[in-house]
Amino acid sequence: MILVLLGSQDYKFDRLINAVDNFALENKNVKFVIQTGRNNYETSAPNIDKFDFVAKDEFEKIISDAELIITHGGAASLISSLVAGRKIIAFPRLKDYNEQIDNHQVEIVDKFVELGYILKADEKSLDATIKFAATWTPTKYSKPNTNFNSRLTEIIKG
Amino acid sequence: MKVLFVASAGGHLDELLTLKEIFKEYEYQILTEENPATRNKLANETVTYLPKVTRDEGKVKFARVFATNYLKTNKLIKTFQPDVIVTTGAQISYAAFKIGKKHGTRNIYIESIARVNSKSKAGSLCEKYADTILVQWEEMLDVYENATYIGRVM
Repeated sequence: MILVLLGSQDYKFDRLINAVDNFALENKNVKFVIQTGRNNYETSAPNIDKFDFVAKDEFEKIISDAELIITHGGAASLISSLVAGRKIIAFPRLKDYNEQIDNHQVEIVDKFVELGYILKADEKSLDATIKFAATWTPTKYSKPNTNFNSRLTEIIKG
Repeated sequence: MKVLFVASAGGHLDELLTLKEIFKEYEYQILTEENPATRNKLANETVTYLPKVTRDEGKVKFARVFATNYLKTNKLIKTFQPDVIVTTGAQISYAAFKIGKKHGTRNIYIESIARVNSKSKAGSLCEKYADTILVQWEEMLDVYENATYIGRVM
């Protein structure tokens, strides 16, 4: 199963939805689950299931069931998928298409591609990237061991 | 010590909730935005919910909700009287920082993990009311004049 995550934003993301829809129609043996968030979305592909939002436990179960996750470039979506050890293709939202207020998703996506954590795609390269992902091995995600919480506690203390 | 934790809905709130372990060291409350996913994430917490609005919903609606949120935030800060405000952004942290400063809070802005090479809009707005700016990538130390790097939340 390939899981598609659109995040919780109000901004539309038809570019990703249409690219997934096209791929799903041409590859009916591949099952898709799409977290649509706040976007209404109709599809004619019989191999696509949808949900909008679910509780945290159920969400984690869906993530652990996915062979591949295609996600917008929201940092939280990326990292929760990485922590779960999933293969990820990020499809950053762009300002030019009114998918976000600016192009910041490209920053984190390019950084994570550079670190070998994820793959990146757009509407033109999605098909090839999904196929490439099957044989690709990602670098395991780790956050730097800096004792963030205890240092933040010191800063809060003042 | 009283701490008000602030985050807009979505990824910002997810970043904030990675700090959950330290919440319990304080008398604390949470300020966030109403969103279908938000209440699931915040069961059993003391939360003030603000209506969510984005700029593309039109200037009039944006201005009205922004004003409502300002008043609600003002009321919360007057009542709860936090010593410190900690935020992971974005939009709603501006009013909290500005009002908080009037009431003598220390403000800690944690720039989103999503920012590797540029300031967020909220970060630029909040900068002048922030006592501490924490960035989550070392590259960001060149982007903010007075930022501190202590690693990443996740």
